[in-house]
Amino acid sequence: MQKQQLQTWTRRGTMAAGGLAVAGVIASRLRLRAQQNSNLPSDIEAARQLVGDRPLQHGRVHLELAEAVENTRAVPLAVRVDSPMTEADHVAAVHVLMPGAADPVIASYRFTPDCGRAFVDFRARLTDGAALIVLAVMSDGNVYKTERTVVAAPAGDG
Amino acid sequence: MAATRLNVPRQVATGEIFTVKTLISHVMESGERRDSNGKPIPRMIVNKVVCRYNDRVVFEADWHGGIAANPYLAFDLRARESGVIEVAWIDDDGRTYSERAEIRVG
Repeated sequence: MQKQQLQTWTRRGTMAAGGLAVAGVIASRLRLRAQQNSNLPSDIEAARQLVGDRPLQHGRVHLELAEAVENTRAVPLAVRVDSPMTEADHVAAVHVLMPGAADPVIASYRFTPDCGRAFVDFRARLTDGAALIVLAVMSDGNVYKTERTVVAAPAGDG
Repeated sequence: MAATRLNVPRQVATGEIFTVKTLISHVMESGERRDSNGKPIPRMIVNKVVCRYNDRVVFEADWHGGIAANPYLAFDLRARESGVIEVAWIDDDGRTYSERAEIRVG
């Protein structure tokens, strides 16, 4: 899609008299598009280190997290990713991040086709109001993302 | 010595997907706390969990300070053949704790 647009813009560029100016516009538009694709707060260097600058796609990743967390020191989290889990097409890794924490990475899980299903269940220390980001890296390199805000139950509840 | 637990079904049909449930009693000191004198308490966590199915690595976890104390971990495996499921937990001091369970497939 980017290539197609680039070709269109390039064609327009050759028709335009001020070719250089147009090229500048193309470059800045492509930069903007790249930023939109990344869809990741630029301060999460940790996420970049984990998945690079690949565009993040939505869907396929399901995060189970209580609507109101009772105990933020041990929050049950479950992640499921839609995948056939075959040699040719499986989930390679799932990364769980909480931007803003001293260490923004909570966990990375490596899956193989032997897992049969991409599922993991664990307990984390989370901060009320923090964003929780789950990135799933597929065997073909595509990255899917889901995000939720952590909400602690009011004290005295339950 | 950390107490560890590994739970897998004893018998599974070939090709069936089953859940491996694990638990280790560990303080999981995050490295972000200070003691009563204001001195930082060094991080001491289980930073890696490796699961082998008949000596083949099938699932791994890299853990950071945000994992809760006494960490529970569950994941799935597909029953290929009878044999041994082994889970190893490795902490910041390089200590390894491991647990094995036999599974009958067929």
